[in-house]
Amino acid sequence: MHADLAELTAQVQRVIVGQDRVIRSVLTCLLAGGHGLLEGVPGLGKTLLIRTLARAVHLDFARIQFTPDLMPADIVGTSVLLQSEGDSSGKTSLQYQPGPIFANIVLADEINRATPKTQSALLEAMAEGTVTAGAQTRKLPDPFLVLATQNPLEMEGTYPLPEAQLDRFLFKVHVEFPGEDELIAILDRTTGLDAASVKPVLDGRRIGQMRELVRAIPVTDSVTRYVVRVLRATHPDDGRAPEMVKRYVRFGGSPRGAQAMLLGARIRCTFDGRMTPSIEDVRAVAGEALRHRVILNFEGEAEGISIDDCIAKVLAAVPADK
Amino acid sequence: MNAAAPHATGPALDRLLAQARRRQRTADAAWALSRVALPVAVALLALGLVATRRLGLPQWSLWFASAPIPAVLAWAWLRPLQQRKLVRRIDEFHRTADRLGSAYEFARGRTPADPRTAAIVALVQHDAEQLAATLDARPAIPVRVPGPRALDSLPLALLGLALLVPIATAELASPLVGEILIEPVAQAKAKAGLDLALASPLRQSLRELSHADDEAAAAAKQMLEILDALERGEIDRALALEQLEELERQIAEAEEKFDAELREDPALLAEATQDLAAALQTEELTEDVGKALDRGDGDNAEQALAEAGDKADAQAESDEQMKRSLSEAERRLGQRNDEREASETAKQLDEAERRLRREEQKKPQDPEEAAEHERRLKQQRDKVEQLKRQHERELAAQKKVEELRRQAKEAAQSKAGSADRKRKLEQLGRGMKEASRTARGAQRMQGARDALEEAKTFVRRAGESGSGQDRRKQQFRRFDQAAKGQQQGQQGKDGKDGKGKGQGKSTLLVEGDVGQGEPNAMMEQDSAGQGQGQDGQGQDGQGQDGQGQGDGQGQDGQGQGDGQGQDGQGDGQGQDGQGQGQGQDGQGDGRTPGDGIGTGSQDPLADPTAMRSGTKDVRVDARRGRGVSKAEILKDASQHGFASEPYRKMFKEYRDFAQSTLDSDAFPAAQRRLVKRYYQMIQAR
Repeated sequence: MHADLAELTAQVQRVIVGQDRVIRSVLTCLLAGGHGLLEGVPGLGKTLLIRTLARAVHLDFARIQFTPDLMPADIVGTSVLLQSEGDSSGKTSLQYQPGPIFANIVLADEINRATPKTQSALLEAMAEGTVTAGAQTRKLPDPFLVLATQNPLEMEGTYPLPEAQLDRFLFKVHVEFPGEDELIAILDRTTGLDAASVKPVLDGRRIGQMRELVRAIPVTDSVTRYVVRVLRATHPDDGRAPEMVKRYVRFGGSPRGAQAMLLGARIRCTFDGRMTPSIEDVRAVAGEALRHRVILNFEGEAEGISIDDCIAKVLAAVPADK
Repeated sequence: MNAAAPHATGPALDRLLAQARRRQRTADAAWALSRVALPVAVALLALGLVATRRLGLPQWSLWFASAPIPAVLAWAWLRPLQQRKLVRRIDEFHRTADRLGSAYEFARGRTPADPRTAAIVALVQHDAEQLAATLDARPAIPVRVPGPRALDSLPLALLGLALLVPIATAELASPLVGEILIEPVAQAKAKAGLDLALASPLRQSLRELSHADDEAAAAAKQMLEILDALERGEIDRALALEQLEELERQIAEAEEKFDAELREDPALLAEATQDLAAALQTEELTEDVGKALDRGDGDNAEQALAEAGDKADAQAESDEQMKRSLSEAERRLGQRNDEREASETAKQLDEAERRLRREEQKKPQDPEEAAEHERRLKQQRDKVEQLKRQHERELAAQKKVEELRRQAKEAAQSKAGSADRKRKLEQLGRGMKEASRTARGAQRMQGARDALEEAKTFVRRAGESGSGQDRRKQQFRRFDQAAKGQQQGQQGKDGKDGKGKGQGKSTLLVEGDVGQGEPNAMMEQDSAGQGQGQDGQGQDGQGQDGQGQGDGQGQDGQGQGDGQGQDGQGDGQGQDGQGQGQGQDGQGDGRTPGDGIGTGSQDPLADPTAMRSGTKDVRVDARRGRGVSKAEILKDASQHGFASEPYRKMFKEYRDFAQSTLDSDAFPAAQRRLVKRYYQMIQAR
C-alpha cells in the first residue's frame, strides 16, 4: 500500500507543483472514504489537483461549479420527458437523468456560492452515498468522493456552509500560496509546449482494498486516548481545555472529528511506511480534522481568533502520556 | 483490538527497557540529591549545629543531617517508573516515531481478533525488536546534575550563620563521655554539684565509720549530712567547706582529748592485737575470738574467748586447741616485744635531747640571734617532750603487750576447768578488749581525719571537673617534681652549721585559702646528717594564716617528713633538703629555716598553689570531641584492653587491701593520705 500511495502521489505531482501536504490530505480523504473541503484563493490549482487525482486513479470525475442560481436538480439530476428511441409512435416517457453527482470524484467548486438549499442537496450524497430523486433512492458509485473548494476572500454573495454540512467533510485543507520555486515550476509547466501526462495507477477496486486495509491498521490505546483527549480539549467546558479555547470557542469538535483524526493518523503512517500510527501522526492531522468542526464564539470571531491557533493550543495542552 | 492473549516483548526491547530504568533512576537520584537532599541536608546541618551549640545535643546527632541523602536515594531506586514514558523518551530521542512504544503497548494489550491486524501487530513487534537491538537508552535519558539556583544559597547562608553561633558552655555542664567540659571558674565555684561516682567510696567509708558510738562516728555522720546537703544543692561549696572546717576543729579537739588520755601507743597495740588475732585464728576453737579481734570488736572477742574457755573445759580436744592457740599467741606477742626493744622513738629521743643540749650550750652574739636561739630551744624542747610522751606510750604499750603475753602463757599453762584457768582467761579477754579498744579508737579517729580531708578535697573539686587536660598534666608534673624532690632529699648531704644541704629543692604543698601567704618550710639537718624537722615554718610574706609545721625525720642523710597546712596553702621550698612540714601550731615569720631535712607533699595533687604570684582564674579551652581522657583510658583498658577482670572489681580489691593495711599498721598521716589520694584518683568512674 505504501508503494501504491507513493506511485499515486508521484503521478499527481507530475502535474501539481508543490502542495505536498494538500496532495497527501486529498489522498487521505480518498483512502478514508471521507470528503474534503479545500479552501484557498483562486488559481492555486485546486481544481487541477482534483482533476489530476481523478485521472491518476482511473475514476469518473465530475465538476460542479456552484453558483447562486444552481438548483439541487442540477446536482442530483432530474426526471425529464423523453421520446423513446426507435419508437415512431412519438410516445414519450419520464426518465431520470442523473446529475453530475453520479461520479466517483465530484469537484464541488466554490461550494459556498450556492444557496443553502442547493448545498443541502449534497448532504445525503455525502453522508449516505445515495441520492433520492422523486420517489427513488439511487446509490452513488463506489468509491464516492466529494472534494469541495471555497474562496475565503470573496465573501460577498456567498452562503457559508452550515455546521451540519461542514461536519460531513473529513478534512478541511488550506491551500497555501506556492513559494517562489514552486511558482517558477508552475510557469514552466503551464506555459510551455509540453503538457504533463498522468497515467492511472490505481482503480476503484484497489482503492476499496486499501480502504479496508487502512481500517485494519492497529492503533495503540495511548494513541486512541490521545485522540479523545485532544477532541475533548477543544470543548470550552473541558477541564483540560486551554484558556484560549475556554474563552473563544463556542462548540468543540464532534465525534466525527475524532474519527477523522484517527483515520487520518492511520493513513499518514502508511504514507511514511510505518505500520501503526503514533501520536505525532495525530498531531499532524488534527488541524485539518478539527478546524471546520470547532466553532468560535462571537468574541472569537470579533477578535479574529484563528481556529488553527486554538487547535495548536489544544495540542500543546494535552500531554502525550497520561 | 479485541483479543485473547497478550504478546510479550522481545529480549532486545526488555534489555533496552532495563537499561532505561537504571538510567532513569540514576538521573532521578542525581536530580534529587542536588535539588532536594543536599540543600535540605545543609539546612538540617545548620539547625543541628545550633542545637548542639545552644541546646547541648550530642555532636553525633549531626549525622541526622545526612538523612535526606539516603532518603532520596531510596526514593530514586524504589519509586515505580512508567515504562511507557521511558520508551516514548527513547522513541523521541532516536526519532523512531513511537515504534518501540507501540510495540511495548501491543505487547501488553490483547491480540487483535482481526487476522490482518494481528499480522500487522506481529510485524510491529518484530520491527521494534530489531530496532531495539541497535539503540542505546543512555543518550535518551541523560544524567545531568542541575546547576545551582539562587534558592540553594539559602541553606549555605544558614550554615554560615550556624557556624557563627557561639557554644553555650554554661549549658553544657552535663557530663558527657569523651568530652572535657569547661565551666567558667566563678560558676564552677558557685556550683554545688558533686561527682557522685567519685564520692561513693568516701560515702561508703563514712557509713562504715558511723556505725559506732564515739566521736569518730559522730563526725562521720556530720560529714555525710554535709555531703548530702551539698549534693541536694541545699548548701553551696563555700558553706560546705566552712562546715567541714568547723568539723575539723571538733575532730582536732577530740584528737587532742584522745591524745591526752592515751597511755599506750595505739599503733603498737594495733600490731599486737593483729598478732594475737592471727594466733587465735590458727585453731578452730578460738577462731571466732581471732576474727572478732581482727575486726576490732573487743567486746565480742572477750565473750567469744569466755565461750571457748567453757568449751575447752568440757572437752579435752578443745582444751588442746585452746592451749595451742594461746601458746601461739604468747609466742607471737613475745616476738613482737623483742623486736620492739630497740625502739626508734628512743633513738629519736636521745638524738633530740642531744640536740637540745647542744642548742642550750650555744651562746647568741646579738639580740636577733638570741631570739632565734630561743625559738629553736623552744622547738627542740617541744620536740623532746613529744618524743618523751611517745616513748612513754610505747613503753606502756610494750608493757601491755607483755602483760597480754603473760596472761596468754598462764592461761595456756593452767589446768582445764580450774578456777585459775577461768580467771586467767578473763584477764586475757579484758586485756584484749582494752588493747583493741585503744587501737581501734586511734584508728577510727585517724579514719575520721582521713575522711575529712577526703571530703574537703571532694568539695573543693566539686564542679571543677572540667579544668581540663592542662590541669591534669600540671598536677602530674607537680607530682613528678615532688617525687623527684623527695628522692633527692633522701640523698641529702650534710650541711655545715647543722643545715643539711639537699641537692634538690624541697617542695611543700600546703593546703589553704587562696591568697594566703607563701609558706616555706625550711628544714634543718645537723652535721651528722641526722635531722629531725621540728617545725616547717611557712614564710609568710603576707598571709597571716599561712601556717605550717614540719615534722621531718632525717637520718644519715635521708630525710622524711610530712607537712600539712591548716589554713595556708602554697608551696614550701626548703633550702637544705626536702621535707614535709606539718603543723597545727607552728606559726612564725617564716624566715628561719626549719629543722631537719626532707621534703614532700602532704598532697602533691592538691589544688593549685595559693602563692601570691598574681594568679588569676582562667578558662581553659579543652579539646572537644576527639581523644580520650585518662579516666576513659582506664575505663577502656579495664573493659577492652589488657584486663581480664572488670576494673571496678579489681580497684575495690586493691583499695580494700590498702585500707586494711593502713588500718592495721602505723603509717604517717601524709603517707596515709597519699595512699588514699592515689586510690581516689584511680577509682572507677
